[in-house]
Amino acid sequence: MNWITVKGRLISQFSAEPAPGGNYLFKDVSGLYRAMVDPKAAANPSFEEFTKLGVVERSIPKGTYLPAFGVYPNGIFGKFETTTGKLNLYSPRWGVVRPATSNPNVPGGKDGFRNATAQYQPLHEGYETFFDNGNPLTGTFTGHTSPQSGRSYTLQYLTNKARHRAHTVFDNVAIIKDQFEQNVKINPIDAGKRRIKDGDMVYAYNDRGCTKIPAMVTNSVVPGVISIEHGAWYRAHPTETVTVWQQTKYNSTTGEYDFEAVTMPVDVGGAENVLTYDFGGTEQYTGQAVSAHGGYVEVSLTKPN
Amino acid sequence: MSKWGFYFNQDRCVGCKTCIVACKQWNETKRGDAKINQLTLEKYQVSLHATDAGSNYIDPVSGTNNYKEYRKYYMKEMWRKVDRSETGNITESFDHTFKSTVDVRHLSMGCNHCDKPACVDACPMGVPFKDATTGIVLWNNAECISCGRCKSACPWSTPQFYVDNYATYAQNDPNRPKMTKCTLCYERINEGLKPACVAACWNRALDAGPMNELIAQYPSASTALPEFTASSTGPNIIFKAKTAKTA
Repeated sequence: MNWITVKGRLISQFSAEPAPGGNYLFKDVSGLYRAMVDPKAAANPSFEEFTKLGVVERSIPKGTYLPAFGVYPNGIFGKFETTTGKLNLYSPRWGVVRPATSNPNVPGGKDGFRNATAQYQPLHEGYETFFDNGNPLTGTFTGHTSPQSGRSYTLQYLTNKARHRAHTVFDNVAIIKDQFEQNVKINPIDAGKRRIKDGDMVYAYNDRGCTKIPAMVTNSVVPGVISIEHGAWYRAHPTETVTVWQQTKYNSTTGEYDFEAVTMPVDVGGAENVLTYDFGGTEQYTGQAVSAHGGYVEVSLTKPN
Repeated sequence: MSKWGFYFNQDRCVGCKTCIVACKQWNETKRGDAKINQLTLEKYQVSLHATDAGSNYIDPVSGTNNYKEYRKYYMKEMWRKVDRSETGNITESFDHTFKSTVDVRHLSMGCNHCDKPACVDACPMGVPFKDATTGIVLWNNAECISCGRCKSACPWSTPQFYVDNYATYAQNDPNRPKMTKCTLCYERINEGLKPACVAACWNRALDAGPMNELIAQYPSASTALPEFTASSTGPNIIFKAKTAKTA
């Protein structure tokens, strides 16, 4: 048996689409409820009762087609009258905060309100950038070759939350810190290619910096991805250095900052901040300090130049 | 005599190690070096420049993290341990989708306060002893000679010393580490409280009490767990194993 759960309070508060002028409308979604749950059956509450109950659970035969959103097989309700035919989640606050943009990296960027609609947004250095045509489904995996350093990157890093820290807070409390090793989690497939064994000291680096921490070979991360827990404190190695490329050289011709090679110490604290990129907070995406995103990285037993 | 022991629900444990930190914090005064490495305000207040210079945190020669000074004033003994075991793998199919069979299991364990404790039998000085009313294995380490026989006799290395090289210290050395171990927070249960590890477990994976009450409260619990090293010493701990992951 499958189970269908209809969350009444949530559905009744969906806003479907922003209207011209910036206001947004609440759509009547009672039809959706009637399509899902037969109101004639004695055990079923009416839509009004259902919105008060909040949640109704019914068992349905396995394999039954559930017309959750979009076209219904009985043809009564059809599509929602929205741009996608589905319920579009829309935030009026973000419609104000995020101005309209012509940035091609922002989907639907020409319409100021589309930016505030919940949708997939490719990352600045996301998985798509590893493919020759930018499409993981049809393209060929090529990795990313940096024009500055000439290095080839085939891994992506994640900066997941640590269990023992609130961002960077508590990383100086030894009694807590000692219980969890700051390491780079790497899949056995990727570790085998690089001859990395569990517990080896490895360098995780990209064009922005390098951190030297132990490797944890684990199937908890998928191949192609490494994970460094977010929030460890930066600690500079006394002697080891790497070359990094920073946008610090002002170019008076273009009016922009050019990349410049700078020598920086290797970090031994496991601070993922040496790998992340900086970008504006409210212009395109949320967040700046929290690096809850991926990017190019390479892991090696030997130190990069 | 009632037999006190632990209950561990593996399904609920997420490996956060809150039990370990709670144990160390509650038993701070009972750590082996409590009178040797005492924290004073002067020692605690290290200037920011001093920490940045690396003297406290980074070995100036090897560049590795150096926590020796950093952890000097905290409990080093692991009265409670959390083990992590991982099985399964991730495979990539022809359409480049991943299928995961990874299953992570934890085991949080302190002292099992055995019916026939191996540490009590092994000790030549009578340091660990079994409490007459609760069956808890307590200790008085005034006579401890740091031979380590208790630690090697215990199937789970529950008796602890604050450094690993405890056997190399001279007998008249005032810094010589002496045995300490889990007391099931004897002073807390005397007051009607749960042990610190149980009280701190926010996922309610742990419980402690007289074994007959625990068995009545958790009738489906078992004395065996794949991750648990079985022993003939009669450990007083029961488990609920993690539900097997279905693909």
